[in-house]
Amino acid sequence: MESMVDAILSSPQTCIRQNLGHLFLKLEVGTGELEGYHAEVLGRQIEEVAHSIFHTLLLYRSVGKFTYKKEDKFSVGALGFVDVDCDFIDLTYVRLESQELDQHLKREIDAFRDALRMNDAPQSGQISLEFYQKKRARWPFQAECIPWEVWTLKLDVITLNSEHERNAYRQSLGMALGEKVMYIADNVSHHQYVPHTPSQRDLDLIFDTGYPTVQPYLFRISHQGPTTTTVSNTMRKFLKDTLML
Amino acid sequence: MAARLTAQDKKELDKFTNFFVFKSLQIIVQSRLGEKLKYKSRVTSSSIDWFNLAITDIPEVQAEAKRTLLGQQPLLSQTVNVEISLRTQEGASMVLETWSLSMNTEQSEPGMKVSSTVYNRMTLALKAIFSVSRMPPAYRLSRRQGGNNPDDFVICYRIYLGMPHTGYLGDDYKTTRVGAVPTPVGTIVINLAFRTNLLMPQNMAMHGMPFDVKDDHFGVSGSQLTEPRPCFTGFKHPTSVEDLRRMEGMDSPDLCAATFSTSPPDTGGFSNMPPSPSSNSKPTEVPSSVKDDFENLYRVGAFIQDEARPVRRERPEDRPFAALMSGLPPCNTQGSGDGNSECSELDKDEDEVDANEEEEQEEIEAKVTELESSDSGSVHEEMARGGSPSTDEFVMVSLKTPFAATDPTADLGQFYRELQQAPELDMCKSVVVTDDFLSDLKDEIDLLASKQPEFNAFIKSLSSDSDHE
Repeated sequence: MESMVDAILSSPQTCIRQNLGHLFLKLEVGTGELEGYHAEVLGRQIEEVAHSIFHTLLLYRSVGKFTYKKEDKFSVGALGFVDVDCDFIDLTYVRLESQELDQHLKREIDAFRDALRMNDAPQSGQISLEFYQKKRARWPFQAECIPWEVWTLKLDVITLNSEHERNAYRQSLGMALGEKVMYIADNVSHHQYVPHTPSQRDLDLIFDTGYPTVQPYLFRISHQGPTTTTVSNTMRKFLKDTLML
Repeated sequence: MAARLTAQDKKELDKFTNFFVFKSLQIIVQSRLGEKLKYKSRVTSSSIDWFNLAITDIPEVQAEAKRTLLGQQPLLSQTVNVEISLRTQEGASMVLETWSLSMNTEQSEPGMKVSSTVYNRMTLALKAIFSVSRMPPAYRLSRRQGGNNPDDFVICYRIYLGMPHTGYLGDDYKTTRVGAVPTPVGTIVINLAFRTNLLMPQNMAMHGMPFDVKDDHFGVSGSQLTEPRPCFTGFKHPTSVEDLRRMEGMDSPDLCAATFSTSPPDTGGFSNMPPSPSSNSKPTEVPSSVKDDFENLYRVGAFIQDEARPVRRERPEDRPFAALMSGLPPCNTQGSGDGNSECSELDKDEDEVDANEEEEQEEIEAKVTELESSDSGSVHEEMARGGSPSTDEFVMVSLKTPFAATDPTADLGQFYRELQQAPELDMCKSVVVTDDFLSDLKDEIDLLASKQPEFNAFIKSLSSDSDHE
């Protein structure tokens, strides 16, 4: 018996649950929701789902490293790319060639995976990739963080008993993820808000300059702890929502 | 409709569009090489890193693209298509997907800044092509070519102009929009149409050839890196050094001589700088002693894996013409600090560069210098154009031979191959299964079964005889 990740990507307003499961990905821009995505993901492993989606997003939300030569002149580095074959999904995705960025994502996603695997019961959890910019604040306050794009991935861990099921799921999840990658590509080609390129003084308010060869927009990854999908939990949530507690 | 553009903007837009199309074709074709690609990120862009993407161009693809796009004015006045096909050893082929780049002049954004916004949107679109190209079934098939059965099939590409031939993709083909780049004169749209039914049509295949791409599509040899060998020449063997020299000649500096730097937003975002003198890529010639080895390296065909020579393509500055020079000693690099490096060995044979090309190059350098000195704004950039496509054109053997009949049975080559096959024996045809035949067979089996003790005794006697001996 092996735990699987069942995934659905859907709009938070019209949560579409496909027959395979519940991976939930939503995109928020600014203060409001822009659009939802619906993808199918196979995944014996949680991290491959998150890696493929988040790396795809960071591909678009990163630029080459800025190197200032004068105060008002700077050059932009060249972004490299790497093909990544998934071990448990029939999928190859492209990520930026930056070991440091990959390691950072891996740490965050591993923590999420470990939280989901704390016990054998089927569990759910969600992990978010949030792009934000900082706004300077007067002393003694800290800079204000303003999110401008948030992607949330919801995962339900399911159990499949046979190898045949796992193989079929591996394939269908790969195809579904592929469709989502295509969908994301088409979506980012539309006009969307991204912060203006700042002056050198304000560079750290927009970009994460901590990586040696790439320069993603400021982002953070957060995840919520697993929630066991039991009848008692569902009833508890229902009562809580009903009573507006 | 087209907005009123300044001469400078129009010039930049044409140039960006030109490089965008060529880079797109490179990314698409390279994605079907059947290998995992890795391009290193770098702090400093070099003169060839258009759109700040570290993508190594393959000279053969560049040459084929230039040959196809030659004379198209303005660029994208016709749709540019890349057709990816599968071809079996027997000669049957199947179109897997068609990428198309077109310009929709009805949707334009007149106020868009060319030097910053259009450039950045083109970068995004190229990233989209990069990312999406790994998703269709053709990518999985390409990873399996030359795997356990290297002769099973190869993946080919063809670049052509005009309406995309989606009719070859079967009934249930899918289309998706990969990206779009709005410009002041129209929107560049990148579309992908791909086949979903991967069964080789019977009338096209010598044998029915179902391709199961679901199970372990990476294949056993998936992790092996291969030497990129695009099939722009179809199955033409470049048997002479001259063939290879022509290919390299196509890698002229007009596509590789741009250096970028950027300016803060008060100047409108990214802007381009003229190439510094040190960054001007000059035509490089491979020493003849090196070129002689190419005959052994370059093989026919399309993306065929050469498992004996796995090659990881790195920066072109590190290994110029790495696609062709695998196995050769690496050249010296210099200037890593400014991101520009060149192979000194390669410059030794500059004498072999065509005199006309040198003159052109000098002329262009003079123009660049002139621009450098005259341009006072923040937007500076000049692409050093030179080295017009070689007059010695390639012989393009496309998948669908021009003027050939569409019916494959009428194809002379196929007819010839059929003649070469051994005919079916008549004795095989004469076996007709009837009831009488079956009853006779049953009687014979019964008879043999009844004599089984006799046979066993005979075998036993033989074994006992051998024991005595």
